[in-house]
Amino acid sequence: MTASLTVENLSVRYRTPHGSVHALRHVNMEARPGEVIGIVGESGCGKSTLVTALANLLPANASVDGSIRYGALDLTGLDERHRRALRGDEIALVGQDPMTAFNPVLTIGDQLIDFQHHRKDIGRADKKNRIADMLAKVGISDADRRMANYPHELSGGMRQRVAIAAALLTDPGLLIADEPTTALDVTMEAQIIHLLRELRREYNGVIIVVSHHLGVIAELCDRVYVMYAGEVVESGDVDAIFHDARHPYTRALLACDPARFHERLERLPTIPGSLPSLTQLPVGCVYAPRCADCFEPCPVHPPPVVRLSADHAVSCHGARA
Amino acid sequence: MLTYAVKRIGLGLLILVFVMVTMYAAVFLVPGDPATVALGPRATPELKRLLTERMGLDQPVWWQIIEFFRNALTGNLGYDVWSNRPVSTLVLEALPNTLILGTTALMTALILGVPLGCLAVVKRGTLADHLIGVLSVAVIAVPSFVVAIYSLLLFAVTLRWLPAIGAGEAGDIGSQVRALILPALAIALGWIGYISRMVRASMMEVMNEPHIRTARSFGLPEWKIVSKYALRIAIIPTISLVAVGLGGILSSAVFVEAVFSRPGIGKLITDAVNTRNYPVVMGTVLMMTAIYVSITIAADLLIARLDPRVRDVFRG
Ligand SMILES: Nc1ncnc2c1ncn2[C@@H]1O[C@H](COP(=O)(O)OP(=O)(O)O)[C@@H](O)[C@H]1O
Ligand SMILES: [Mg+2]
Repeated sequence: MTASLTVENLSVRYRTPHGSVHALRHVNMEARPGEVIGIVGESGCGKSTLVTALANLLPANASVDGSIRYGALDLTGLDERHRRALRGDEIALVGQDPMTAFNPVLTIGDQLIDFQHHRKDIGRADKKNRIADMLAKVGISDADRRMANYPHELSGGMRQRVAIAAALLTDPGLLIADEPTTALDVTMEAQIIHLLRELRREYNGVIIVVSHHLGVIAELCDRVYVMYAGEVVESGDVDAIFHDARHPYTRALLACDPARFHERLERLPTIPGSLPSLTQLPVGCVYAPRCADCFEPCPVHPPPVVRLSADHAVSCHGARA
Repeated sequence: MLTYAVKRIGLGLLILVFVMVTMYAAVFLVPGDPATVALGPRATPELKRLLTERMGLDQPVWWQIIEFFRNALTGNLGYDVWSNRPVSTLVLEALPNTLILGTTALMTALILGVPLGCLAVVKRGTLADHLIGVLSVAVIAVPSFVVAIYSLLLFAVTLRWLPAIGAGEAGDIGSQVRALILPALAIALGWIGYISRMVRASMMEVMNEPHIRTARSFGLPEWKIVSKYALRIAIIPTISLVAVGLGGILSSAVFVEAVFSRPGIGKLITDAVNTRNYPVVMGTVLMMTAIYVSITIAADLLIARLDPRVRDVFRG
């Protein structure tokens, strides 16, 4: 099945001993089949929370408001049994850290066979064949040997390939990769990006790629959501975001991207200040305390959502003018 | 793996020597002449000298130790001072009973304790979890000889469902099994609690590891995640616990065999100590230590087999 993903007014709170962490607030998002969506933002801004909510994998201390619709299904209204049926069937998540993603005491083959457990129609031998095919697709040729390996016997890049193969094995309509290259070195990163680009050509579901690395997003995605402190502050197609960014945070983020610096600098620029506490949020714009263009309404009123075009929207008082 | 096994076995032999030296030192240090204690104050000096000689106690301690190991290497563990039968024969006669008792107790504890621990994890936070927790702690707190005495009073004396003493009729499996139930239960009960706690604790830790989330993200059923993905890792500390605890199981067996007058190593040692039958004590302790050490080695090798990461460390 391929279907559109619609996220409306999604909020996620984590209950902690220190109070409620408002990790996600009123997020709206839209993804059509065949689209690759990028999510960017500093670490701690709620990217993982968002995709974990999409994959129905939030921890027990999280509570969810709003709706996530996938085709005709309302994911937030499902009971645990239906959620489980959806996981690893329609929705697959590739995590950030390939070193810890697999069970250390079971072979890769054993795990990949288990991961196809929704496929009741085929036997073990067929599952193995599918694994071999899929491993070949992600660039691993000696499938038989790899299947007999334990995770620690593979390199990080190799494991991330296996993780991607595992996700694809389930034929998901929604494929999510949460910082798929963050834990890898630069060469491995380039290889994984290349692999994902190859895959997107023959894949017709929705792909969501999370990264705080703008280069990764620029190379892979059609549309981008920029997140700050649990909110989407700007969204639009890649060109609009990279060449016509309107939110001061997006611009600051672009200005900090090391890939954009050709001349050698003493040190990389960073955005001054830090994320606000998610337990006690400011009343106005969440970015106001760090914003270089902050003016009177910013600290007092939440910013309006300004639609600049069909596909480009920004939450900023400054964008109204 | 092989060098590891060789190292472990070498260490095991060292432990054996150490234990026996300690035993001899203990005999040497205990006040009172063993022959006098054994024979009573009215024995003739002639008789005392004879007994001292038979037990080898007239020799210097270091000589006794060397002699003991030299004989042990040829399979000779000495002779019972009273019946003159070889100690090895006595031990081999008593051993099967104790091994059956210990193994049954351990198996019962594992068969009940591991699933209870898993159940507590699957149902974590619910009434079932709390109930298993409370019961586990309760059974851990009761010493096995207390369980032995009370279960004997209840099931054997009052209700008369099960035999109170012995190991059952020779050749009659039914009666042997019936004689096994109460002693095995007395030893196993606390261990059911230990194992279920241990499995739950290490499993809860494993359940927070990222690979469990991976398994969940593929929609695997919770019971499969618990019983395969988490248990394979969580069982490892449990195996160590059980291996270390085997000493405890063997010493419970000593008490429990005494309570149920059940023939076995425990009874052999108790009787031998009571009659100052030193060769029997020494021979039996050596055998028990050897068994304990080999089981610990086996457990370590099993852990190395279960955890491929450990396996590779020893291979490399
Ligand atoms: N299980 C949790 N309990 C409490 N707070 C959490 C939990 N998971 C994440 N958070 C908090 O939610 C915020 C967003 O985290 P996350 O979604 O991981 O951000 P990102 O992926 O963008 O780095 C952070 O402040 C983080 O500390
Ligand atoms: Mg993250």
